[in-house]
Amino acid sequence: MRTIQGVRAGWLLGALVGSLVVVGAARADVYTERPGSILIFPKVVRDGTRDTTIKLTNTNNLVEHVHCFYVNGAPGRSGAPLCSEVDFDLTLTRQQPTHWTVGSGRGTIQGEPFGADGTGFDPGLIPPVPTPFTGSLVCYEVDVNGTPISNNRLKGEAVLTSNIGGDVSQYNAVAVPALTQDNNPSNLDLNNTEYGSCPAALRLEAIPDGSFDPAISAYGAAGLCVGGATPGAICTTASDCSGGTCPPSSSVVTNLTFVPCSLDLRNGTTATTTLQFTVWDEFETQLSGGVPESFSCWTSFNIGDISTMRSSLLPGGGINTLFANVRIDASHPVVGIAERFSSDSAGNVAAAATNLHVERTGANARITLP
Amino acid sequence: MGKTKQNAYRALTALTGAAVAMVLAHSASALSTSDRPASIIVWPKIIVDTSAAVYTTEPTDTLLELTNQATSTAKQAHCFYINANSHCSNNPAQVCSDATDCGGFACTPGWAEIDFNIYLTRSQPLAWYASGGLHRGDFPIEGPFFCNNPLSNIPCTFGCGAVGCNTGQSNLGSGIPPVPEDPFRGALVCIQFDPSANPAVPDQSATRNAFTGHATFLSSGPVLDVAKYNAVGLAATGNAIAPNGTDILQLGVALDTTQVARPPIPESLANQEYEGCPNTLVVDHLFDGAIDPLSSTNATTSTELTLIPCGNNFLSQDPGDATAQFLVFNEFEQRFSTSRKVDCLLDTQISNIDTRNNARSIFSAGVAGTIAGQTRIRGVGTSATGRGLLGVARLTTSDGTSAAYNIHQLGAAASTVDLITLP
Repeated sequence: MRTIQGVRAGWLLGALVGSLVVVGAARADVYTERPGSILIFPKVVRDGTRDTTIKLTNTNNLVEHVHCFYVNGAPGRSGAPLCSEVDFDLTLTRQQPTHWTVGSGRGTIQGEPFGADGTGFDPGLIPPVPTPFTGSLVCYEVDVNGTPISNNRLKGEAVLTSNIGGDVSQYNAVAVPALTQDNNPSNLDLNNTEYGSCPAALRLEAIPDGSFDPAISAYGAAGLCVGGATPGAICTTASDCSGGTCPPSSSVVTNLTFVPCSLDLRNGTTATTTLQFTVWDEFETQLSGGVPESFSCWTSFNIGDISTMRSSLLPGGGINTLFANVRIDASHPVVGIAERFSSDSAGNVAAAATNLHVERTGANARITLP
Repeated sequence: MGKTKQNAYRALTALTGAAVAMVLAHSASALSTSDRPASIIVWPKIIVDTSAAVYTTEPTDTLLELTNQATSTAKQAHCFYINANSHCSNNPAQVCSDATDCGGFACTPGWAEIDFNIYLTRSQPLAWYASGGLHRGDFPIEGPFFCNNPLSNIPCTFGCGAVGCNTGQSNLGSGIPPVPEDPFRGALVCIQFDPSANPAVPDQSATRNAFTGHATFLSSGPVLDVAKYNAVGLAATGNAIAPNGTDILQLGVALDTTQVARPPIPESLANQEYEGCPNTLVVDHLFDGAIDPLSSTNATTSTELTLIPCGNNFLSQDPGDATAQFLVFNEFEQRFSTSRKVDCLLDTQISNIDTRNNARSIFSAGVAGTIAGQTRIRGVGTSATGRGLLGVARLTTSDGTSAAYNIHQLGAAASTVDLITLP
């Protein structure tokens, strides 16, 4: 009997250990298409040419209290990001969506006209950001006392709108799921125990900077006539140039923006994160190295700034094909987005933002609250 | 002493039960993904209208990107273009969006698929415009016994000199046709196969979730517009495909035994081969007709919503169908609802979901009264292919610009599986 109990206990212990191993293996990481307890909007811009609309939604059937802070990544006098923060509180009723433009914020004005901007239950007083502002927005669930809680019911998107032509570009906020109730209200630990872990490696598929876009070349303002009867005229093919040629002049630029998951908002200091890039072109050729990017609380740069991510059509460029697959390894956990800017010979510019794919998660990160 | 042992034993039992429950709860939460590599990749919306004849006001094409993220192994993608074009009843060659394109005659919905194979080498990105596809001679690494880059289109028999002859992985066997019509509206589904098996089988190997994808709409005319979204992925679980036959792929775990009674009859619906489709999709949007708060021209906004069923029977040409139930919330926490049949593919402005009169729609800013809204979408139905839905949304403005974005999701569909039957 004792033997049977021993076998059973051993089996149960084994099952317990096995279960815990599986739990450990099934890591809860960040998502861009599921609600979470912490939302990170990596790219928030109000720079005189573009402004940002934030959409935030409570997917809970109960009231949600939210604490948010902007992190200002605009360069200070030294050229380094300011990394200063401004925080505010929101309250969302059940299933309530809300929105605001970061340049104007949102007041608590009663009696807005039906259908006007600002109509609806005001979630709270949201301050406008200064101009210029380039940085990020972080929001997390709290209880009525401001203590972090773990409902995993927040979702959000950011829409970047150009002042010129009204071009729009949109991405989903990165959601970090809460795994257990927060036991330290002064820190948010993104360690796969309290909250999910942030990525240490991300993937990007992009047209290398300096390449022509085949669709603009085929249908749009691909170039400007050289020679012929109409030099300088916008053309799609040489037949538009009455004897001249139509060399292509469209271009594609991909911009990357990253935010570290470790942010010390109390002391205003953030460790330096370094990004390394490995690129594969369509020939399966691997290019790596180049100048790594280092940053503190926020960075945004064009991939063409790095020679290994530049088309061979540009001086010093190394990619010989129209498409490339890029792995981005970060020394500290990060989240980020990509934004593609296409331009034609008529001077039109259009942007499209996308979330990056996650390859693997990284070490523990901590947001130290002010 | 004996009692202590008994209590310890009970405690261990309870602890083990809790731990197992945690594992089950966690695994049940696995859903489709648009930010991780996966084994089934779905592009819910592809638009080609290079003459701006039916679907767009500017010449439009879609750039499709597919990447093999496996760093050492080649992978095969078995892909299906789903043609959801409608055609005029009085002229079956004419593509239409509604009866007004047919001079008052009926605009008859259609569904057809064509399939093809793509072989991707390790870490290889591949992209093509839907209007053109990629043909022999267009692929970066045409085959073994062709020269290495940059002479990759020259057979080794011609001499490769210093660059050498490629005897390794290649795109040999790949062929991507152009979409079957221009104008075209439809979807693309690519399923990862293991090319090392003979014949190739749906990939449940250790490197089974290796594909990522994107789609970029590019409209080029007086207004240049680019909109991009991540393809939606469904991860393979590693379970063998065999219980249902290698031609039937099961998405999710079945709890609805009535599905067994309908053809095709799976042998084991408990065998989850791929992650299930979500129970609920959640779309944040601006209501149609709302003035963009940031527009300097007071441009109005609208949202296009595209939904496709997760399941399809490509063998019997039986498209997936489901009914989408919509719950709409405005910023006053007020709730509206409507429903719409998704037969093969639904691609519509949201204020046309419940009515043809946009201004009277529950998705209209004039009716909702606020700028922003949240819409929850749940697929219901009794189709043999399942009931799950996948989708993508696209914000458009009256300035002619747009931005596509992926839809959020909640909960795995627990009561039925979705089935993809291969031809």
